[in-house]
Amino acid sequence: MKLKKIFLITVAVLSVFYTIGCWDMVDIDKRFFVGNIGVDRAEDGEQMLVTFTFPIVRKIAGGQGGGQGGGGGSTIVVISTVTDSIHAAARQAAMRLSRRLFFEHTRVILIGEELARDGIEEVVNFLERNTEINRRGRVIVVRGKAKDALTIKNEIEVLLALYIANIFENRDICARFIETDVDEFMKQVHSMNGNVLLPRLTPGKTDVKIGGAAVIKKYKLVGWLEENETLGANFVLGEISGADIMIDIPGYKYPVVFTVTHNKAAMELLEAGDYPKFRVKLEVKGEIVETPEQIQLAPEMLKIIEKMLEDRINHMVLASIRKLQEEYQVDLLGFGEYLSKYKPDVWEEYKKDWENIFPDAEINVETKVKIRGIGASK
Amino acid sequence: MLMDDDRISTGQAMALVINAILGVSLTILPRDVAKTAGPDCWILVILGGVFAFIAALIIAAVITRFNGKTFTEYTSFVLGRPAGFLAGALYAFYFVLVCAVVLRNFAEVMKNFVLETTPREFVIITLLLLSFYLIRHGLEPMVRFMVINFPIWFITAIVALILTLNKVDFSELLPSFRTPPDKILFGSVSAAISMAGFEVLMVAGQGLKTTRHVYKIAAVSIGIVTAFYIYLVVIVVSMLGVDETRRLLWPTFAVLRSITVPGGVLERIEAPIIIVWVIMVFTTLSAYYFSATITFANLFKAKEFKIFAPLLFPWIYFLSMMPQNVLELENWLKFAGNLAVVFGLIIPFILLIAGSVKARWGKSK
Repeated sequence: MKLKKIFLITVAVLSVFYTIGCWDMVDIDKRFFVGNIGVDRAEDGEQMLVTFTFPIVRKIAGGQGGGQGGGGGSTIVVISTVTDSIHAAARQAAMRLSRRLFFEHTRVILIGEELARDGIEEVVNFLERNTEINRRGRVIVVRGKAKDALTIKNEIEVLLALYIANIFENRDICARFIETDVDEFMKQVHSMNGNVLLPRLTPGKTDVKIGGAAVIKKYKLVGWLEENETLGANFVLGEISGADIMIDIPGYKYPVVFTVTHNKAAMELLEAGDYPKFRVKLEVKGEIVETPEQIQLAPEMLKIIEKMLEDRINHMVLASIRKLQEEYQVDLLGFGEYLSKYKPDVWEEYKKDWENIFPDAEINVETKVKIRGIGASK
Repeated sequence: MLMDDDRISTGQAMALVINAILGVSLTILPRDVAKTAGPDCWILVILGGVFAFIAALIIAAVITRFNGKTFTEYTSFVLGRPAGFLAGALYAFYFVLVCAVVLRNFAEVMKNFVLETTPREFVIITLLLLSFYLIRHGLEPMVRFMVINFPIWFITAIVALILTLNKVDFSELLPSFRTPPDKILFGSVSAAISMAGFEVLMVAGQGLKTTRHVYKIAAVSIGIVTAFYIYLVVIVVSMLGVDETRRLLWPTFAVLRSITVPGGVLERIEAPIIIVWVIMVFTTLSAYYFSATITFANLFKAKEFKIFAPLLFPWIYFLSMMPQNVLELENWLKFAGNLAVVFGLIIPFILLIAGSVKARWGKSK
């Protein structure tokens, strides 16, 4: 009986340790929650300049209480260190910090342009192997230096990471950039051998702008898609739930503004000769939100506008496809993926040399626009 | 030896088998099948379920012939004393090995995702101690715990399903039916291995209230497990894509880590799900630990099976600490999987044949 008691007590005590995980206990006030990670090429051209930003919770809380906030200086700490890897950078930064860096709440991972041109394998491997990184964080390529984007004096949000990450929420009204998270990024980069589209961020003095896309080919940044081209690419990806398209009507000063609310894309293989021939069918629904004041909308008028919109979208989508085919020669809109999934026999033939075949593929776009609403006036 | 009132009903036996099967393998299975068959991985799981079902039927057929005997008594009766003893001993060692592998895999996942600085030794010993505590009181109390766990697991699985639905892309499972048949066959065997666990019922079979419904137990439990595995593999692969599933050590956890509750109320939902998974591992461990203990007790015809639990404790622990790292553990897992074919299919089959031959021979005499 005595033995049993001792045993029970041991089990009970040990399981208490177990449930609270005392080995891993780092109190919340002993942590810095890194919001952004910025990765740049260091000045020597070989190492990396890794930048972390994290908020000082004390100051944020004080500011809200109305106490010493406001004049207390920045609430965000920016710390940079030069080293060979991101993980090592966090350890190196530890020599200058009073608390642990903690990545579970990292919202944004910024990659500097220069580093991206050299290759992003290091970042990819870090993001995948690390078990602490939030797989819903955003991966963004910065035009210029990532550090510049992290040192802006922004007043809109208290937290810089939230400011940048929340811009992505606006994609459903303005699809002029690529939306992706760590999860999606990993999936694409591995299934497409390092070819992927990433959002582009341009830092300003007090704010940043996310617009356009970075074209990554074989883990290296080869160029950009501008905003209109990204919109075109998004049409093919079928991911638009909000974007404005303006068309000029001859004789009027102001354009007709059409806003896309639904977008469906379907690919079709028309011919599989030496080079494949594709047709991309787009189905776009949306409403008219602005017209020149003098115009009275009538059903026939809407038909004409629909036709004009179709031409406009065709044009825009083709332009971005052409750019990817001719300038970057990389298939980022899923044509190869479509073949491998739906036409596996055809894909067997093209698979090996797809890089060289894709630029010569013939791609047609067929758009069908449906105007579903015209606002509150005729 | 089990006490007379320590018996379980048919429903309880189902819970026992399901809890014994589901555990560590559900973190690895998607990678395994995606590696061999790519987009056809779900076919492997279905075929694996069929194989596992056949194996379970054979085991069930053996169990119905027990006639109140324990497993070791029956093997000795059928194969003769030395061979029967050897078979019993091999089974006991196999159960111990499975315990060790399960524990170590659990510790690796914990180390990577939850308790990063906690020593593996500590994680293993505590779980093993808990399991030790659970099994000491016999079959029925242990199975009661498993019955309680069943709805918890079920509800969690359903909730996780709903939460992943907005992120899945079922076109990742295309093109279908393009994997060569030999690969499908080979792969489905390894998928069947992840449904190993029914052999536990062979030693626990002596605790069944009635052996009349063993076939029903086999059908229901393997059916539920197969359905769950198909759902799991489809969700994981269609969320991560074939290539990413192949690369990740624990693809299931990668999926858990990327689901969010809409509305931003709960940012990260994986913690409660991992807790449920820990319970699942715990029940697998307990089922095998109990089986090992009871097999040894039967071998030595001990009155009290309890004394074998502490005797096995250090062996399980040392075995679980043997692999150097995750990659070596993978080899151990493969080895244990191959053994599962031997102990879950081949030996029961021999027993079945030998048993029926013996029965006919006995009648004609």
